Amino acid sequence: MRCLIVEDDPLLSSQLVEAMQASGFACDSAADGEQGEFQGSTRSYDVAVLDLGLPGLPGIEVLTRWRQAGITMPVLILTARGDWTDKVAGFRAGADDYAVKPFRLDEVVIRAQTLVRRAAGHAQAVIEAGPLRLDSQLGIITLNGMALKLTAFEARILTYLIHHQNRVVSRTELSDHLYDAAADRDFKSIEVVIGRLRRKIGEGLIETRRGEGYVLRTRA
Amino acid sequence: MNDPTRDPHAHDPKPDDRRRFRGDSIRLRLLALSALLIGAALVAGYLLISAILQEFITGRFDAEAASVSEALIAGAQVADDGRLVAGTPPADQRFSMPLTGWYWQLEEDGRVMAKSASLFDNVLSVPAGDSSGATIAGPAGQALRLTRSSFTLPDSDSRMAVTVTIPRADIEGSLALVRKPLAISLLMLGIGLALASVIQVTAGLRSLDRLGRDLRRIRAGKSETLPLPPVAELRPIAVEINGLLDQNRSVLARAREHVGNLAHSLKTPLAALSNGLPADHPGQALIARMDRQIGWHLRRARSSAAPRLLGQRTEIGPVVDDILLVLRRPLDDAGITVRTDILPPDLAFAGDRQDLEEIIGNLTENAAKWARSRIRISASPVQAAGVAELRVVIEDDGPGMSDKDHALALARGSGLDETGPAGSGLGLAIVADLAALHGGKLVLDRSDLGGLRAEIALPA
Repeated sequence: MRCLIVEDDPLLSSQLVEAMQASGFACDSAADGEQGEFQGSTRSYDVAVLDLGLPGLPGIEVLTRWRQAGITMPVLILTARGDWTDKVAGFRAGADDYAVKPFRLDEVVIRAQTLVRRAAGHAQAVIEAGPLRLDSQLGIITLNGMALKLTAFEARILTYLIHHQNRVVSRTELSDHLYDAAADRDFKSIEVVIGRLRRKIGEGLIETRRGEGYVLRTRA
Repeated sequence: MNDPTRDPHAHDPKPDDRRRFRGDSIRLRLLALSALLIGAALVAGYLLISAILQEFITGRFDAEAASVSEALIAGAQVADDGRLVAGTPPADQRFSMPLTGWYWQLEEDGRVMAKSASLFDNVLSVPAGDSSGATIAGPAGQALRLTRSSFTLPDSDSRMAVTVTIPRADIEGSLALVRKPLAISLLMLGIGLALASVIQVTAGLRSLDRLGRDLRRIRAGKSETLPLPPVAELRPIAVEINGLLDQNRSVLARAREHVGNLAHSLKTPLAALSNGLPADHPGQALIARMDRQIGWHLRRARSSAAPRLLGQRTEIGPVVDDILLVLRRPLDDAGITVRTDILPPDLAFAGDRQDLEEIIGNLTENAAKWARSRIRISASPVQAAGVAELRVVIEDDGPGMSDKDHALALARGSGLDETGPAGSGLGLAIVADLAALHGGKLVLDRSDLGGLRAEIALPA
């Protein structure tokens, strides 16, 4: 899962990045409105955490531009004033949830995870995919009730595939949501990890479509 | 702390106080002045015209008397015995009928030598000297106007005099005959002028009335700017008032922006600080307290300025919709349905949108936290002591509170020294605070849905 954090305070921004990374997100950060708007509209993210009080372009304006450009990623807004006017303005501009400063980091992480899960069309915190079960808040994946032992990278790929089960996910899309902007992309290593995953969860679940990508097939 | 419970409408003139004619009204002053001037002019005109008429009519009678006395002088002659005798008496019947007041007499050296038949056996007692124009009392008690001419005759050395009298009553009668139509026509002229001045004053002040009405609309929050009056004299006033309104709005907007910026610049480092400390660090309580203080002052700074801002009107319906937009997801997740009853649909709060959002937002959020499956939001107008108010009621079917907890919930957060985690149950105290700022009140009770019933009265 990839997330964008737009927050001008460097300390708070790095705290958010650390907390999100610790729960399996690949994070990019932007320190002002223009940069955040540019990153959000040129790269593909699963969720954005957007501060409303940004230098340069205000957060509401960033969000409005994203929505006007047809960018539908879920957005969690951070508001300092914490009044309903800010919340209403944010939701009208297209926000999906809010957190009021000062907030607890784990609260922001849980809200971001919930937004990602909902955006993929899952209302419940636990997503079923055939014999697989993903508890999106705890980040635990079980196979037939037994907890799977996965590396962080394996977990990221499998989580993304579970969110988007029964749909072809291209390698580019997968890499977009696995790496942050600074990381080197490597399709080969994705293929290697998919191979390892197949051994852990059974051969039949992840299909490879030549030239297209992968499908986590949980129904016929 | 300046007095937050002050009724923002205390200095509003009540509509029924505005009578059309008050002692200090321009309309009354103009009308009284014009009535006074018209009245004085008409009285003076009446006096002047009747004086002229009196002179004219008296002159006519005097001329008549003069011609009688000339005829008598022409006819008078000295008889053979040296005594004065009258010639042919005047043919006028009034000199022959008895005691008509129309008399003549001829005197020679003070002795009456001849007189009119109308005098019967009386004699006119004429004061000495040239007493023409004088009024004497006649034999029948009438007031008589007297014309007297002295003359001499060639055949005599005696001083002759002829006296002719006219009854004053006849002169007065003729005068009364013209004075009555004169008075009636002047009175009608006066009524006409008075009507004209009423029309003039009303027409002249209509634009002032309209200006007043437009200002009241702004005060009532029904419009934001004053339309330019069609009258050139009032246009500068309207422009100035609009300028003041704009200035008021922009000062307030700037102040709010500053406070908002201050909150942001304090709360962001506060968030970083809080997250940098372990959750059980004693500093966390201090951070929570700072956070609450910022929130409290932010709200206070914003709301204490709001009631003074003119032209505020916020419809309830759209605000409820906005709040439900924000809360939609947690409500859906918890399977809570919200019923809204806002009647009439354009029911509006005479105040700031932000404050209404805080009130409805906090109450609805609180209801959402406790409700099992239902929330009811209703708003309706009420007439309280002649002042238009509206009542917003937000109820849930949750566990509700005991009466003791109702009082406790309202007391929380009213001071600054609260301890405990941020945001816990402070919503109700915030709403109570805001309601007081608008001269309203938050009342907590048990709902027939089973849970809490929060009722708030606000100026409509």
